[in-house]
Amino acid sequence: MLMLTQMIKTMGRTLLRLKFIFITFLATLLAGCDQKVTGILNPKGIISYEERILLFDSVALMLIVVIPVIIMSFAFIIRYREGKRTSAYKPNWGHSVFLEGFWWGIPCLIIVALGIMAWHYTHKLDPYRKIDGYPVSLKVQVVALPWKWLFIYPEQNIASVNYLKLPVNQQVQFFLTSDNVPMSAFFVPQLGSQIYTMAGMQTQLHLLATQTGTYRGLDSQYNGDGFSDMHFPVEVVDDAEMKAWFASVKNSNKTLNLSNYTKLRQNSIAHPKEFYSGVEDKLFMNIMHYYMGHGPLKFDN
Amino acid sequence: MSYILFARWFGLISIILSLGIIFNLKDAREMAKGFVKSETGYIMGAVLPIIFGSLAFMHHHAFEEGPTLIIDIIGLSMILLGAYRAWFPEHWKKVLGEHIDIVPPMFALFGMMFGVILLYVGFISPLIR
Repeated sequence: MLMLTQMIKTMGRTLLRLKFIFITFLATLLAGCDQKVTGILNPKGIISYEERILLFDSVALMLIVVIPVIIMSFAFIIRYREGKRTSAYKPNWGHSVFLEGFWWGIPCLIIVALGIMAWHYTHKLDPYRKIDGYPVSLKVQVVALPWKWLFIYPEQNIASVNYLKLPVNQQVQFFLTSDNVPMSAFFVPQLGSQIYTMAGMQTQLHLLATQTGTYRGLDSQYNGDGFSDMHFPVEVVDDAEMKAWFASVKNSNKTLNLSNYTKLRQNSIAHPKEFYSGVEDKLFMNIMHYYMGHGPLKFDN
Repeated sequence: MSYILFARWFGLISIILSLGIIFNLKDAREMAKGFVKSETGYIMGAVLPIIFGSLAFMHHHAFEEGPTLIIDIIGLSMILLGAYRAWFPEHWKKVLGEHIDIVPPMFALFGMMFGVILLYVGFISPLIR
């Protein structure tokens, strides 16, 4: 009787442990459901949408070989296990032109297909290429600073730091460079391509957001102490809200003159958002010229 | 039947049959030997590929880029294979007879490859496009 009671107790404890393990396992699995899918897997722009298609199609093409190979690994294990004697025993068999052609031919075809896809999408999604069918409605000059992002809206003559606002369903052309910081990389994963910024040089990027919302922009190139805080929100809004924002920034009492810019180009980590109602004439161009040795930009330091 | 439905339907058929063959090669080899000599070979080698191939080719998209290209290629290759069996029966029997040992694993492998890509076209691709 005592033994039976002990057995029941032991079984109860084991069941409790199993239940705990099962619940933990289930919770771990379901924890993923609560995570918001972000980045390139949840595109909100034309370019990122195409990039996701390229990513999935490439993986599927590679799986044509990978999945059959994994399945065949199990088939071989089962077929050639010790307990099973196969009828055919061919110790001198070593070569088959047909089979060689097959298992070299198929991967070669897949590589050719991948190559064609990569070539096609590389040209189609070239950051410098304007997106077909949409006129450029806004130009933004981007300067990577240590460790913050400066966004200049040249046509509106306003600027912001660590904050980017864009209109929905309108093509935006970015001109990018960097100042006083090593090479950086501008990247808004949910909108599209990453592009590098380099001192004395200008790179270009075209993006088109198709859905309003707030997305994460970041620097994806390690560039020093403040790298991990060099990110910014990208707010995509409708046309009316965009115009209202331009007007509100125009009312700001700060302007981005040379003196303010000199302060801005000093090192700072997790720099707060800032807005400027006016921008020094040809500032972006002069930042680039400064590194080419013939710029009129004179910094205080 | 849209190309997506076709991809799902034929993808599932391909995967199920291929898995059956790859894990039961002995049985598949015996069947294959019978195919060469009997009219079953004609049905399996010509009639069915032509039916499935023409079904796929019904959605012919002039080899446009995208998932439909897979359906076009699979449809065209099956029609060509079927036509080869129907038009050149002696040559087909000779080739199959010479390689009878590797025909079932090859069939299973191609089936798996077609199955994987068709299931992608049928189930995953519509979600991301």
